[in-house]
Amino acid sequence: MNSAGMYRTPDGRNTLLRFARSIWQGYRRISQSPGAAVSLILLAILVTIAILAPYVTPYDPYATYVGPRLAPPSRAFLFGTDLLGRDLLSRIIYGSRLSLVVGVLSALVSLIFGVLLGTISGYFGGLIDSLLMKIVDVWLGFPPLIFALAIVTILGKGVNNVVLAVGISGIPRLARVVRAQALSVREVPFIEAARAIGASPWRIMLVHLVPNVIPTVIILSTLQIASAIISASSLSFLGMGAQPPTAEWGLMLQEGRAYMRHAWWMTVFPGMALFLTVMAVNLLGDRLRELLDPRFSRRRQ
Amino acid sequence: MLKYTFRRILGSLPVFFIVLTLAFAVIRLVPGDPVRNIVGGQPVSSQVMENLRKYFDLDKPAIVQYFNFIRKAVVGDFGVSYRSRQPVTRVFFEQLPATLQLAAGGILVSILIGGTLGILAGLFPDTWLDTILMFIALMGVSMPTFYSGMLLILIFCVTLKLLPVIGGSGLIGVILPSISSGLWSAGNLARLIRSAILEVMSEDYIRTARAKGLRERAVVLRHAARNALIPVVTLMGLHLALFFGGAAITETVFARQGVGRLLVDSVLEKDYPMVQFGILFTTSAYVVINLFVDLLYGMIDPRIRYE
Repeated sequence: MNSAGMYRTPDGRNTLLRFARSIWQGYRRISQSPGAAVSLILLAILVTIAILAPYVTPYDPYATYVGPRLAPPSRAFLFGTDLLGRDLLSRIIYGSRLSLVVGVLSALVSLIFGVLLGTISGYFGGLIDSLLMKIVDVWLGFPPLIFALAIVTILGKGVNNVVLAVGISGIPRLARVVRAQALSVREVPFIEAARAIGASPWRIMLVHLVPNVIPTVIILSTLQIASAIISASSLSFLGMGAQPPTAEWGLMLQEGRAYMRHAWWMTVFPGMALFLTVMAVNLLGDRLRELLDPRFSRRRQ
Repeated sequence: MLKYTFRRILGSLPVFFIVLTLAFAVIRLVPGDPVRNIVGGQPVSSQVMENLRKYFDLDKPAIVQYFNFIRKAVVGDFGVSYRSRQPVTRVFFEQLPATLQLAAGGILVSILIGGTLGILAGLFPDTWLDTILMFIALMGVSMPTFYSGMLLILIFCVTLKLLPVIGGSGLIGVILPSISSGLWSAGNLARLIRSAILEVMSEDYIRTARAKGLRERAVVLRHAARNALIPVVTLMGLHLALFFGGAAITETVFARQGVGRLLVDSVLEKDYPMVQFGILFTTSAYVVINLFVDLLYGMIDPRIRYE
């Protein structure tokens, strides 16, 4: 990607300033794009509900027998109750806290290490690059679910380890893309200029390279959040993530699986929450891509 | 091209070696004693434990185990499964057909649905049709496999009672799992095809083709399709590899047998030899598929040459 405007200024601070400005412009354009507006509103509602969970839930999500067991949706229990008579709506609302936090944190893990690996590999090139990329290739070849599963079994079950496991399995994808970006930026004159005046490699990477890969990284990490939310709940679904009685969407689906014949609400509603959340995040990622990635701006005259 | 293929295979040998080493190391990091799992938590004398340890080559230091493992792996001996006491290769290849079936079904669903959505959206960009199709694709991308699987079961097995819930063998049994696992791939494919078509259609050679008076059909089929195919083939290769190793969720939801489920269970039960071989196999599948994809590039686009 060679949008000329992006790295015209040799001075790092200006690059950051320009970047901040482009974010602001992006925000203004986002607010005009209907798809993005919808996704932002959806996400805002979701986050608000997640934060205000204790105040908006009708019941305690962990209190058993607040109603009859396996009660179908009714006015008292909008989404019905589960096997232990817990209110599903309250549990789904609390589940949003977990999924959002896990999604963001594990995307952050992939992001930090992915950018680090990718930048080093792309900037230094040569032996370091081919070695690192060989590792990344093998890493990509590992089935991601099995990889995350192995990490969780090594570290032990539980949400914290799920964050690490999902985060680590997301690293190679980001590293790949960031490296490609860094490679293309590396050849730009201002990098050469910085090298010529004696800037250290770390300084060049941090001040000159990283800001230029940020747009790509923002898009990727948004999409990474979406897939991290799915992976995390997949692990819980397989019994390796959140443990009962935690209110977690994947776990709730697992609990509902045995009662599909008798209590469809136990699978339909938690899954719907998961699906809509992921969709909102993906929608945001798509719009960001259209705004920030010049390759995706329409090329027709 | 033969020379290129040969060189690529040689070049991936170190990858296999790294994978073997990693698989060996990672599974041994899982805490707990595999021999405890082998006896299934039953109280046994320490003599029995010792014998088992010896039988499975677990009594030696890790480094010796490692060299023994590599030495045998080179000649195709991957050891005996701790759980079933059968050669891991036999156990694995018994489960493989079910997974291959699912992978084929998933790819088929992906190409049928994703291809249709993507091509239509790409040929009529910025129309209401495009908007609707891309929204459907977004839904596919955002749908967790286990949720789509359970919804399908709810709709077709519980409510409509069209299909048996569990274990329907043969073609019937593979329909719903294929749809469930293919939806995500279809969504991704549709999005990719659309953007590939948009990109290709704005190229100069398309304008040239139109300028020389070719019919739109010929422009699309002969000039656009071929060029749009490259990223599509790349994505399909990647997804095929994912179907091999990532089928565990679908197999769990539909209570199917298969490699994914086998691998998950083996990790959980610390069946070292099984995990090692499973990871080697899925990674090899990834490498081989990638090689095929690269060779396909040359057939699609004669400008690509292999030296």
